[in-house]
Amino acid sequence: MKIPHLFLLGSVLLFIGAILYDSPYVPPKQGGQVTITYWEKWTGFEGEAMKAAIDRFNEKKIRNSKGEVIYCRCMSTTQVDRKATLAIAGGTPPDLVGLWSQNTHVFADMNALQPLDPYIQRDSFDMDRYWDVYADGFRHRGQTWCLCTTPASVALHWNKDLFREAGLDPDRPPRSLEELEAFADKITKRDSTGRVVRVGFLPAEPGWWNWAWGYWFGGRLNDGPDRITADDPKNIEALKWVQRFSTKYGNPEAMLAFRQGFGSFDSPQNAFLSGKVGMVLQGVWMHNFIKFNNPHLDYGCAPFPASFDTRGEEVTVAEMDVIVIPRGARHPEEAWEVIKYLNSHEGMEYVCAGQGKLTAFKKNTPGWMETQKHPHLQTFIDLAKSKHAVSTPKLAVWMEYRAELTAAFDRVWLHKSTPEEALRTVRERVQPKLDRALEIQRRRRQLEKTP
Amino acid sequence: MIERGQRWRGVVFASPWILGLLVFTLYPFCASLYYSFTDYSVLQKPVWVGLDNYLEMGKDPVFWQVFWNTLYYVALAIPTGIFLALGLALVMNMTRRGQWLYSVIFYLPHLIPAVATALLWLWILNADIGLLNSALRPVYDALNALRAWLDPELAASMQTDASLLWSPPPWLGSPRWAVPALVLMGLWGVGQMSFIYLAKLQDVPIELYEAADIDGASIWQKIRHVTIPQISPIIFFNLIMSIIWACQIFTEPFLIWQGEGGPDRAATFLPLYIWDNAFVYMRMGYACALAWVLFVLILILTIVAFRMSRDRVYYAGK
Repeated sequence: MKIPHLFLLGSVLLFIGAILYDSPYVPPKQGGQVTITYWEKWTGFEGEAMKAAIDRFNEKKIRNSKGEVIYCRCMSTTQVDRKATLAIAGGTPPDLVGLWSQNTHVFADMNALQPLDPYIQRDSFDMDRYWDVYADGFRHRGQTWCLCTTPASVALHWNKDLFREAGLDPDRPPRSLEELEAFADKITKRDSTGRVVRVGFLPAEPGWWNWAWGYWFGGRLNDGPDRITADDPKNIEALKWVQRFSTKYGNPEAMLAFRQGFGSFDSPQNAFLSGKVGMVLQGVWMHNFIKFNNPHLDYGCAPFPASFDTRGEEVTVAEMDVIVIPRGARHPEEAWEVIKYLNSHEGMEYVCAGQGKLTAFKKNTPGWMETQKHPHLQTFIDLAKSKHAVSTPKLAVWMEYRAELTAAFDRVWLHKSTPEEALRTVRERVQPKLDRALEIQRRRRQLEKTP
Repeated sequence: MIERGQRWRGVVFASPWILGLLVFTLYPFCASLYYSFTDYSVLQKPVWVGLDNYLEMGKDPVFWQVFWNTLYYVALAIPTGIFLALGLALVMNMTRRGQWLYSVIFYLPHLIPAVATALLWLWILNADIGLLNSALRPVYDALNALRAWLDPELAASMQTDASLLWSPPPWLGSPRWAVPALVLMGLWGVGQMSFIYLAKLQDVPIELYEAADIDGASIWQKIRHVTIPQISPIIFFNLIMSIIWACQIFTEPFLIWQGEGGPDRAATFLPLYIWDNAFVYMRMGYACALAWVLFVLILILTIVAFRMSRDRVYYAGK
């Protein structure tokens, strides 16, 4: 009787003790060394490239102001934004987090990040080295919240073999939306029963930029931080174009069924890699997946045609992976040294070469480009520096806005709404949410001012 | 009378559970009620907004879409689950030989984790290359051929316009079929319910059937007037558990549509909308309010079930 009694009592005490004496993990202190932690989203070869860059940083044995050597531990962390949110709220964040440019401003608005401006000024860090679209992504409400780890832009990828099969010139991508449609019609193939087995182009594939088509028509999603312009006539024009494709090769439901046969993005059954779709909008990273999953694919990259005269300044969505110092990080000064290294030519060029991407810099180290394995890298660089390179709007309710735009795309695709109705609904739903979010932000600022 | 010492001993023995309940259930339960009256992003201190979150819900069209989706799923999944499970149990109860084998076979899917089940059904229900549609396609081809044979004009247009061809449902890709597809998936795990029915069915006194036989009752009359009343407490138990499970459906739709909620949000149910608000839109306050609405919804459905069953459930002890 006594032993189970003691055992249970012991486990209760252990439980209470664990709660009472819980304290954040502090890496063991080694003489003359300070260890900092860095959570990064990538796994696989992308994660390896980042870890290798951090190893290089560690080898440099950079010292902090106290003369201690900075040692950075890089950990692959899935759903890094959610885990970082909880860690920041719990007061035990890592010293560095790898986020996405599309939601960094939300973290900044919630006072979850430390601004980098003091360090930038102290070290006279050159901010002019970046292409405008990326430099713009670092800043929000007049402050710098993040710097870049790897940037990206998106372009039209076309399958040259399918062009040949359709009697098209494999080295000439479509230069207008009309041409894109005409080429797509030629590439599309049906079986003996009339069902589509291959399409030239589908605006819903891969479906990652269903919210963004308006940009290729000259549309805008917002006017400043407080106005939603989802039903901008140009955006409506874009969804009308999308809707045409939903009935072009069969009824919309049949097209949904056809799409379901596509394998996952990073598999050889990917719609583009397996030849089920002849042309897709994809990012600079696509080359890596082509290399792994279908190395013999003969493909080209070109700017995705726009509906208006771009005067050589082509349209692209330029997002990036960024690195931030969360609020409550114990070693911000040391964390800045890592950011600075990853934004040096050596650091960024090393990571981007490992991940097959462009850098965010206007000028790379002479000779760097020549050593890159991505055969179409220049196309993505040209797109990133274009006047029409856009990034996601820095709105307080961006994630909700994007979800609504995606739902509008679905409704238009299924002919449940006209493009006008669908986009008006988006504006009517999101504008009040934005007004409310801004009102709460205003109230919070007032509360912070009153002691 | 329990001695004082004994009572303390009991409390100490139960204390790990009591502490767990207080810390991990009661505290979050109460805290979520408070947060539901605030604007709270997890990252900042909550700001009191009174009933704003609840009022916003009334005006939030997405909430209403999600709310009706949830009710639609509940209304479809519960009766089909209960009837299929009961039917299976009745059939198993009639087979004396190999009954254990059938029980094992039908129970097995319940042991497969939800994630594996979702991935498996993702392939079965794939509209283009899935098992189900591969089986259905010849049927549709035959139907199309028949339509073409009956109407030569239609046959000619079918050659040029593929949209006129009938084809198997796109299941997970279509707003119309997304919920029925999920219900179909849910039926896969119905064996667990059948198992409970079977246990109770074997407990029905044989004398009652003998008496019914003497009165000349048919099989259907025996099921209707003897079996169902006798196992009614179990049907009721399964009903309540099904209401709770169905209202909380999350894992399968989350995995199948990768957190996107299905085409045109057809498979966004309240738990997913709560998740989105809490962790994607960073609106924990609104998410807490939604969670309370879900709690009240489950409570109301359970109370309705209790009320409706008052005279229909037979307890031998009463």
